[in-house]
Amino acid sequence: MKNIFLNMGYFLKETITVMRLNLLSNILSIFSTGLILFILAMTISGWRISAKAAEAIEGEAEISVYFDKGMDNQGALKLVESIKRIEGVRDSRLIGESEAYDRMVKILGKDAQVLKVFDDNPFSPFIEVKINLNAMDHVLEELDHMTGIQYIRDNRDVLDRLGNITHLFRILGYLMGAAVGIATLVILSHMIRLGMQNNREQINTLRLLGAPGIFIAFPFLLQGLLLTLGGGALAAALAAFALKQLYARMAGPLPFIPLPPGGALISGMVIVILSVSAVLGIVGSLLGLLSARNH
Amino acid sequence: MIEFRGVTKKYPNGTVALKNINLKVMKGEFAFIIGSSGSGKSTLIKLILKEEDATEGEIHVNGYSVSTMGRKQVPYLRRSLGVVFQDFRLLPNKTVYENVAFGMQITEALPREIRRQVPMVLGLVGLSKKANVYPSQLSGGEQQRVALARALINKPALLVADEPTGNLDPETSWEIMKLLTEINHRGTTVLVATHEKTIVDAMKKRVIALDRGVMVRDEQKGIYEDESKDGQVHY
Ligand SMILES: Nc1ncnc2c1ncn2[C@@H]1O[C@H](COP(=O)(O)OP(=O)(O)OP(=O)(O)O)[C@@H](O)[C@H]1O
Ligand SMILES: [Mg+2]
Repeated sequence: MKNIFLNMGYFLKETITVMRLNLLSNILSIFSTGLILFILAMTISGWRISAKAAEAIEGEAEISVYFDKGMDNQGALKLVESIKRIEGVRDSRLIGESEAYDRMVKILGKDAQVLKVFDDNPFSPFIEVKINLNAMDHVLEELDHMTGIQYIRDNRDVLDRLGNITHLFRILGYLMGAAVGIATLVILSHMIRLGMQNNREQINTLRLLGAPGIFIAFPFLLQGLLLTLGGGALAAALAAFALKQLYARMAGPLPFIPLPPGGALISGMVIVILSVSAVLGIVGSLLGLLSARNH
Repeated sequence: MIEFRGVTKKYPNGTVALKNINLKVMKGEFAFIIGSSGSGKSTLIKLILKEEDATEGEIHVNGYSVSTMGRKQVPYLRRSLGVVFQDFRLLPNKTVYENVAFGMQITEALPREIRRQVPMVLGLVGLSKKANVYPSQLSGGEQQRVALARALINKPALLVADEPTGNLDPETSWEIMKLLTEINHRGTTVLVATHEKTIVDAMKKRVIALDRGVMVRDEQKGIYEDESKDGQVHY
């Protein structure tokens, strides 16, 4: 083992020689590994973004309570107060007609013109109730017993859908992870085997001179590591760029989608991709070495 | 130093390359293995290096029990020997210096040790000036001298060579033989497989003759031909 560090210079030189002998396929495999890892990076980021969105919305679980048309402001405020007293309710607030209208204008952005087709304000006033998500059932039950309530809209639908999206991304993440792993390992072990076959005669000479297996194999291991780390760096750079673009696009028209902080998302992704590529590099090289050995 | 006891080598395709070989080479000896093409010379060398395994019998080399040793031990056996091949087998992407240094790098040698030892051995084979040249830029004789330097770098007690002059002209062959003799005089045991009659005859060293896998002669200060028995020439 000591010998590996003593001879690091030798190993690096050897690795570069091996890679130079087959420069084009080495470059191509860096690119293809990079593309595959890029897809993985985007999937992982999508997973994290949707998980974050779901988490944010879960934290802000809220219910809209529509009261009877006939109820006056006084009655409505009373209702607000009694709702506040229900366990699990964090806040409850009366949203007037005009505020409801303004909110919709904000959400629709440019498309808010459609609201102009209405002569009257089509929105009714309602009570916005912020609750703890796990208290949802209890709160709904309590509200059922109250009088003057016409209709309750909860955002369980949205939550369910977000949950589904997160779930989808997670499964996609696992599938992509498996696909990326297999594809990278196949490419890599093939490259390593190719390199060893091209150097068969030399390797045989090294063996006959008494070079230990690790001494012969190490440059190829290093090659595998360089190939995947190169691919990983490429993927990380591409994904970082793509995420920055995405953030720039999303921040404008979709302000209500809660995104995880961009910097943390990107640096997390870079770490994951580089670690994945390092592991794949080592495993792939070992597979390549093993398969070359049996020839 | 080298001992073969009842060694037979049968290749997987059925060829019997060596038959019941009994042989002892002592420390400090210089011995030729001779025989016509296909007589089993290279096979014998390969058994010493454990490049091939004996089918039957026992082989001891440099204190290693070659026939019973485990796979992991093989590199140690090989590093304890110097080896020279007919086709030199230098590493084409390395300079002369690096080729020789390589022999030490595979042991646990310190870089300082390597820097000291390599120029010395290159001097011994007369190639100090070619240290930074690549093998392809050297003549055959020079390449074989590099190979010799590489074989000697770890001061092996035993040097085996399979037709070390097979690709060289007579004059260059003699240079290599002189070097081998000198190495032998410094205490290294030398075993050379060859079918070069003139060299064997002139050197008056021990001659071990093979014929179709059978050891037919073992003579101190022998010559290539053996006409004493049947007048037939065996090369
Ligand atoms: N790998 C192998 N598989 C099968 N048979 C082999 C193998 N290597 C050598 N042989 C056979 O074994 C016999 C001895 O071969 P070997 O190479 O030892 O002869 P040699 O004396 O070195 O010949 P040369 O002078 O031509 O180098 C030959 O009949 C050869 O065909
Ligand atoms: Mg031969």
